[in-house]
Amino acid sequence: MIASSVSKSPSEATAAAEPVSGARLVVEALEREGVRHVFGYPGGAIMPVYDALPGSGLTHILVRHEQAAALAADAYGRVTGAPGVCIATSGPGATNLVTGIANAFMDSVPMVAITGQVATPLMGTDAFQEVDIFGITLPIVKHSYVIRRVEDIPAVLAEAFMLARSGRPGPVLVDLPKDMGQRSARRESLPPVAASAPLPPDPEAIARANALIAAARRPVLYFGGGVCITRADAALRAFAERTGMPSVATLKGLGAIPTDAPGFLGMIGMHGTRAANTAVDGCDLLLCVGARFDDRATGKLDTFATRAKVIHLDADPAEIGKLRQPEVGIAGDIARVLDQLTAVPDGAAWRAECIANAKRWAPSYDAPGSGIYAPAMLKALSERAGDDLIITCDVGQHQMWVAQHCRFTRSNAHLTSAGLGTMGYGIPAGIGALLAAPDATVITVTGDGSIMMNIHELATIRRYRLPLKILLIDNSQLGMVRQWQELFFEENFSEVDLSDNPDFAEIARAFGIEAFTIDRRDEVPGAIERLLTTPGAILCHARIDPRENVWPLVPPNRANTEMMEKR
Amino acid sequence: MRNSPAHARMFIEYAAQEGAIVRMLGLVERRGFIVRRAAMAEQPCGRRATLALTVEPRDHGRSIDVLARQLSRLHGVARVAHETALIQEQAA
Repeated sequence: MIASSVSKSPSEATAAAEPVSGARLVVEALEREGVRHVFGYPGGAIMPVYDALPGSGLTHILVRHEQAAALAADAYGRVTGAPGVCIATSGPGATNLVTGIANAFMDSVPMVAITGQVATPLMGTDAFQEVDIFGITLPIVKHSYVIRRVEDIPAVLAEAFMLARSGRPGPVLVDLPKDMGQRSARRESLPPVAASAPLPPDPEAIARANALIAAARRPVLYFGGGVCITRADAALRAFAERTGMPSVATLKGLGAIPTDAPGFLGMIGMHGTRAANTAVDGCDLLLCVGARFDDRATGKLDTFATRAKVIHLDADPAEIGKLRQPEVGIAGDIARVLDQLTAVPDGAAWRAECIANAKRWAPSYDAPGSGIYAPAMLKALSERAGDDLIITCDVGQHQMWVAQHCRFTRSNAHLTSAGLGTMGYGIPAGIGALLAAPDATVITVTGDGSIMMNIHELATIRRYRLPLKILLIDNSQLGMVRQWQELFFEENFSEVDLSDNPDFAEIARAFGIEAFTIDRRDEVPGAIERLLTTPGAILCHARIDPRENVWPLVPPNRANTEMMEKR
Repeated sequence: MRNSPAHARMFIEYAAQEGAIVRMLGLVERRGFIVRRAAMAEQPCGRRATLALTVEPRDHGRSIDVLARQLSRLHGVARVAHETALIQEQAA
């Protein structure tokens, strides 16, 4: 029996014994995995799969560029916790997926990417639309396969899904030569595919960690995306409440503890809060949970938390000691380990000091002038949107403003391209998020540079009538690059001017999407209301001062305590 | 070639599947090591193989222990062992 959906009635049993095409086996494998949506774009080598799609239980979302298929599948995977699926043809179709696959790899997102390939006799002959996508993607996949026997398709796909979602999740590529999709094979019994069990927590390491926690007087809880990926936020919140530890988050960790929770000090690192960076610098114990000492979070690594003993807890053993050697490293199920860390530090005075610092250094929103102040608008928008909010971000200054100023109350509600920093992520991610969570309020925050990377996906939003709310913050610049040129390249502004941008509202309307433009601060409340109450898709084009920068900022290769403040 | 103290010898037992060797060698190089020697032997059963590598870190920030764990997490890699201490002894 290969699947729970195969009936035992005689007629259906006969049908199950009939040979079917490899493409049909692909579709049946996806159905068995519970896949509901696939994101893709057809083409020559993948046509057998597209031939098998109609009438299946899968809803195919036709994007307008394969990169968007991979990025939408990425967001779908983040929101559901199950692998997002993207499909493309061979050659350029496959290479267009690469950025999205790399994005999922860097952020540990479950994904299965299926690519068409030229027929096996043509492989290695430089055939039309032939590219070695298996080789190209080796560094950016958790695993990959080339289908060499039609009969292998069910087992390969079952293993691909298991690998994509188990342990530290990631993208898995399945390359399907055209003749493998066309040839037929009988359905064979499929042995169960089980993920290897997570490592049981080492009791001795747990004991040493508890001893360090009990002895700490100035502890800090530093958490990252690993908490969100493993859905360990409940255990994390319980731990934070039990111990009273002040906490800081990485970009990907935001929301695992509500950003307005007492004791949460904000994001750390290059654009982190002064309260968070100061606390990490002064702590005597740093408990790192599901984070990886990324350079954007630590600043100059040998200046990071120099007074602290470190406990590092991660699902991936390879992360322990990669960049910072901990006093105690624990690899295993994050929630299970957190539940066993029962010691409580004597840190009340330290906690009070950290909270006082957070209040003292809280951002100010009373910017001078009558222009739109993006941080204030984002703060108000997220507060008005409520707890069902999912924000998908593009990359640049607006991305950091979202991280600094928006309110998040749950994990996986802040979808951002953290590791790869993919401009163009926002709109495809909004599509993926809306299909994964149709009842959520999904807002894409983008910039005038980023939106142009995947602006064609407005057509996908229109086609599927997706009620995506888009806030486009337009400074007519590649703002983050301009900011760095201003601060670190002696104001040598090179290739950052986008003052010849098109009329974005007109473009949106041309795609059939309601849109409007605002320039003044007094227009912001009405714009937020219109964005959130309009039933369908809508784009708010907000023009801001091109000279506005993201503050605070830790200069490159400097300690996190050497923050530059607003000038 | 004489081994320097920084060299480390690794033994990787893995499933002999398409792309396995390229995947492992690529990881070693990407993670900041130079492959100085490589030898492969197929096990009698034909499905398992062993890759013996001598590797050298490109800078002092690279840890052979971390590299071994990164190799271990590849699907199809059954076991990774390394003999840094032995190499150091030989070089002396």
